[in-house]
Amino acid sequence: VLEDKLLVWKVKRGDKKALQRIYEKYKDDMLRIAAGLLTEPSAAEDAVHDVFINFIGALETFSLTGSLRGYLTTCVANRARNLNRSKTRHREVGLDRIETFDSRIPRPEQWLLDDEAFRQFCNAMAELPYGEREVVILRVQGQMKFSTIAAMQETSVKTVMSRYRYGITKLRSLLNGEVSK
Amino acid sequence: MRPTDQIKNYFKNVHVKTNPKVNRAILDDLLDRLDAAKGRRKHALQPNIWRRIMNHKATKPTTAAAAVLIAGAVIFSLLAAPGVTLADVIKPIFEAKTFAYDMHVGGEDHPAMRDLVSGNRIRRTMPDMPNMVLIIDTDAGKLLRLDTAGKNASIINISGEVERGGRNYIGFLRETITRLKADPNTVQKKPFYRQLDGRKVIGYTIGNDLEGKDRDRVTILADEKTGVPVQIDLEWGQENFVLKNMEFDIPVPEDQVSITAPAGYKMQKTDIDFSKLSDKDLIESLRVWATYLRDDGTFPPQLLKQEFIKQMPLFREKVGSLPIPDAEKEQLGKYYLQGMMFLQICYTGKMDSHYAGAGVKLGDAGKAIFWYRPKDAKTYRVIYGDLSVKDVAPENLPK
Repeated sequence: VLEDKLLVWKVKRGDKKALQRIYEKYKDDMLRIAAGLLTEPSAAEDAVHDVFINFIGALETFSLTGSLRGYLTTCVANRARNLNRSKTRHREVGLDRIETFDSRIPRPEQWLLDDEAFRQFCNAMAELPYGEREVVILRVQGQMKFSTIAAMQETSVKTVMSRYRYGITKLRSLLNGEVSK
Repeated sequence: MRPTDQIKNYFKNVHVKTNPKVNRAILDDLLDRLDAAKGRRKHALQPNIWRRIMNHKATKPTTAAAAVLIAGAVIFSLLAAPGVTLADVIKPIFEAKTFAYDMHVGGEDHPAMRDLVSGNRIRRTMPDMPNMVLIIDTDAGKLLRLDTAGKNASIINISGEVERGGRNYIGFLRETITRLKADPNTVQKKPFYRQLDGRKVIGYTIGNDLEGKDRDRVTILADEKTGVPVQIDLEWGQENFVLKNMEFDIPVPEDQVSITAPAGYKMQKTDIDFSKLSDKDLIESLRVWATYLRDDGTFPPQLLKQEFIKQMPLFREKVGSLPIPDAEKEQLGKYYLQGMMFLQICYTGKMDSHYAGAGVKLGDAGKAIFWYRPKDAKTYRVIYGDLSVKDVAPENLPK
């Protein structure tokens, strides 16, 4: 946390090395969180890139009150939720075709490289309802408290814990033997 | 091992593999933006355009072609480094004391209203209703309606939820810009230039990239040299407004925005009251639509405030020619307006709502045509084709 506070302090003063350190420290985690939430690599890439851009844009007024990891995770989750809402709405009116990780066409310059285990992870997460997916990812990957997630989802801690339990059970079943390896 | 720990272990072992070339490019982009943010460069923060160009279908065929496009975009951004900044453009919006503008609800092709705004008072006129003047006092929640031909006047109560809809659009614009600036999901687009009515304007768009109910965007077109806004497009949820022919800090005589009827006008009583609207108003309004405005007896293809405004001439034509007493025609007009205002409350209050009445005939009890969830309610109000209404749990809503 102290290192992050120092890094933010430096970035606010225009220190490029500090920004590079933040980027390298958190980009993989944020990409994993975004991919777990959105289950589509290109959307996850856009979400994470946008979060870093907005972080820079907000530097002038930004003040780190908790952990930087928590802040970035919350931004990614908010961005993912907006993108997911938009995608769901398009799907309802039949304007958008869902592209799963398996069916997508490789793009010329993708940030996330295709990988069997990662693809399996995205596909398994895609099977969970969004609410459960969000709780599992934010708890396990984002290390967030249930109460924080409940506030984000505007629901009770009890509901969040129940979503977590259901999500974990489903994931175990979906991933079959993979989780015990 | 506990199931949770097993999943944690699994997550830990899912490695993220990234393309080093893209990693570097994104980092360079971020470092460049850090420079821009610190004011070392003149151009403003821009969205992650380069990677989107790379990923866009049109630029997929070759990366070489994409690289040319990126180079072009970079050169353009340097050439286009604007002398007029976003701050310059929004300054008159936030600082002017009086305004005048033409307001098109639903887009430029929709009829305009002319607003003259001074503080909490708005004087509103409509070219296709030359004998009507509305003066709105947003603080008092009152609307003075003047019939300049018959010299009649009436006061309508617009307090409560609907007051936000009888708003001063500049005030609403200020709130929107302030909110968008604070929203971490807001993307400030690259400024652009365009010819508008024979002059060069600079355009700024701020807001999100979403569509439908979550759409939240403002595009300001301003004079390239002075930075004074000449047109503003507001896209908010399902509504969109275009403000044109804008004037700032113009003299506004007190009598032009007085809520007291001018001398010589006869005050009339009216039972129109926008402070107590309910879905009954929408139901009656839908009945008017299907009975008088649609030749085939169906409900309108879409249910938007802008459609109500657009179809007002049709309403006047159809209802005006009915062989019924004037009092009944006035009653139909009241239903039409109150339904529109109720709809506005649904949308401005961001209530979850859905319209499915396109093609449904009045009387079809088996088809739900509109449903919405009132603020803080657990169930939805569902209106059917026979205009009956039921409370329905979310899980039982029509698919």
